[in-house]
Amino acid sequence: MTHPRRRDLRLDAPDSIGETIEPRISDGAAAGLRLPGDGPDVPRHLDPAAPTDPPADKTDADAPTVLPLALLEHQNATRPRLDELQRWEGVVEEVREKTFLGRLIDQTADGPDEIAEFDIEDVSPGDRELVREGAIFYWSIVYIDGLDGRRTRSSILRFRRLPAWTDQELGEAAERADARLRRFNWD
Amino acid sequence: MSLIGPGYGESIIIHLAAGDWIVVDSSVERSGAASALTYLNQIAVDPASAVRAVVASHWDDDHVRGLSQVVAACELADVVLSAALSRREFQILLEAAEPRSMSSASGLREMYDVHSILDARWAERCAEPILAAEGDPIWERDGSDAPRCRVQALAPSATAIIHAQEAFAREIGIVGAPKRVFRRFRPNHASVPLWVTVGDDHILLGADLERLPDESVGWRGVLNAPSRPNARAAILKVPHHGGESGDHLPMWEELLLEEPIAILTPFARGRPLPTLQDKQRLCRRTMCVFVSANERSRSRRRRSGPVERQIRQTVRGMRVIEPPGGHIRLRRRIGTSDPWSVELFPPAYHACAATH
Amino acid sequence: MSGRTGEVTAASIVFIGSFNPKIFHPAWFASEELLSKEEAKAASDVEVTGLYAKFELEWATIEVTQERFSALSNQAPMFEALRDLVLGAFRLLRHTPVRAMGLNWSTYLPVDSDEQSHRLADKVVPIEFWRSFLEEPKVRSLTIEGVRMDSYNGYARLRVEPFARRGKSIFVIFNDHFDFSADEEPRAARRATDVLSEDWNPSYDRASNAISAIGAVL
Repeated sequence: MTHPRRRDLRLDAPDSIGETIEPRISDGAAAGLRLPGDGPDVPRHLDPAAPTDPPADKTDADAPTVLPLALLEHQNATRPRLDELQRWEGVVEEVREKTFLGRLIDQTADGPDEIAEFDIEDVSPGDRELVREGAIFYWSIVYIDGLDGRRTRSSILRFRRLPAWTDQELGEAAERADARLRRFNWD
Repeated sequence: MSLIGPGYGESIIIHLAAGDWIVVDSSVERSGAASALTYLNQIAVDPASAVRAVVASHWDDDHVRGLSQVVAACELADVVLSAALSRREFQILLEAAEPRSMSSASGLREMYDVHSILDARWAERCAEPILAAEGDPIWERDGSDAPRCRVQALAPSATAIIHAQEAFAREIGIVGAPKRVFRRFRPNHASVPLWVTVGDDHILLGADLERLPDESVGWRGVLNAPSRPNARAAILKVPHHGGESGDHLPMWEELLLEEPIAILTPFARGRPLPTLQDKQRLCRRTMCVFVSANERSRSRRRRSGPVERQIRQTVRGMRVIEPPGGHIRLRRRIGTSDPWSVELFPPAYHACAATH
Repeated sequence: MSGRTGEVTAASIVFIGSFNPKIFHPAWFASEELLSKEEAKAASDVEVTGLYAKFELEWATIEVTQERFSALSNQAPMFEALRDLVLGAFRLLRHTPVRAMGLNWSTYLPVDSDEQSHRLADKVVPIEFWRSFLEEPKVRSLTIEGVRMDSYNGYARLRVEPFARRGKSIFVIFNDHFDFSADEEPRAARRATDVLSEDWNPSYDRASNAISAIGAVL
């Protein structure tokens, strides 16, 4: 979906659009002053000069961290709906030649931990390098209601991507570690 | 003395006479409550005042689950950690690994929480944790008002600490490399086996110590150490869930009485321990081998039809790894010639009866 | 996230601060291993400039302006992946100024009839008051705000729309708002990611409890 471009709007004074528009972007781009051809536009639902929409579709200065409904409705309209029946958080216990053992912690209901053997082939190719002892993954069993109305039952296996170590993080961790070592007179 | 162990995890609670208790390692009930605290509450012992020491024999997640609950509840207890964990490398690992964002099943996360409590206690009252290395006394009572008591660490040796340090250093992380959950280190050079003496009775808690080629580490290191015990124990908490790598015949011959009581918890994750061969081997050493739970559970929780069908289509096999835990309780009246009594709370069982 | 799947059907993370949209190209996420190369290549509707960035994955939409970062997913199995994507990006961009964060949890509760929607509305708003001067009044949107029960500044807001546009349903959105503007420490992304990491599960649970309570009225 493409957002309507500003050049479709009349650049009249605010009153002619029907309401008083106050800039909603706090600094940066001066709303309503960019002329057509100046470059890529901010999308409609973030554009303070856009025509009046129902409250839910605007970025509300009083509720700045609420997601605009238009974005949600677009996603709902363009993606299948997933009805999650069961979820586990898993940790890889052992990697074998074609399979791995995963310890499963039930996220849907309280219960004992379980262990299961998965085929590595069932892991998305892009995630296979993540299959290592200790890796965390999520396993969900879902109904997928497609945009065509068809329902299928499926299994989703997704490995967790933790952010990589940075110089700074290791440095900060070392500082905290050193503070503890001094505190307890260790090392 | 009580050994509580579900299919995953173990906790040892010992009454050192005179109302003094010690807790070694931790496991959790299905409710998430620490087994040691549940038991102490059941027998009306106040952990806040009666527990003298809480020991983490190492930081594997099958030995420390719920440990932070125990440390928090045992407000006056000394907290004892392997000296290997005081190394800078482990502390950096602990701080850098973002334990808060880790799986709740991570031993590192539990240790992170324990360290947070230790930091807070130091800030409140300058309480410091105790480090345990080969020969170090953990807790002592002089015997004037109550039976003499001593708890001593048998490892890690200086060499083992260096090996552990090297292992931690390799894991700390390389700039740019993705982080992951840190798993058990094998062999576990940080492990802290304990020698417990109450009056004339001795107990050997084997932790996860293994038999290794190097004479200065593992069980060989314990037997070669100048601080090795001169006495013999009547009770052994079998190391490493009865697995072959934790077995060392000279340890049985030199540190244990004949026909000692051998107790252990199973390890039901991955390759279950003890195997049948492990049990047969142990039962050749002594007929008094008791296991706290079934190491192999075939059962699994049944879920709804669609979920079960999808499970069958997705995985090759699935089972519960925490079969209900049992409890082995050993009691003896100190200063008498009474034998040890063994109580088995199901599903704890007598391994030698089962293998014969 | 404990025990209540299926209720929250969309999750979004919104940061208010100062951003450089140009950074947020799918290829950057892949280079930092926050997305697989395959996923990044398959991203659609990719628009990345100095003023605005947006791309869509199969399971998420990312949108960035100079003042606002949004990440959204309507697929419950991918909620943690969404969180990790944001955590990963802003751990790397740790000095990015972030003044506020919102965790939004939403759902459409299906109803069989308008009567069910009215039943909810009547429970939460004394509609009789409005009948005295409006013909056939109905609650179109109701927002209730509560204070935070934790140590952060901000609020928790629940908005309910008993007559949502999407079929016969009640739209509910829970906005867990964290305000870092009064913090003494530098108001940088590091603070926001710490809170995101710590409060993700509790926030989900709060929203899920609220949605359950609303559903129980129907």
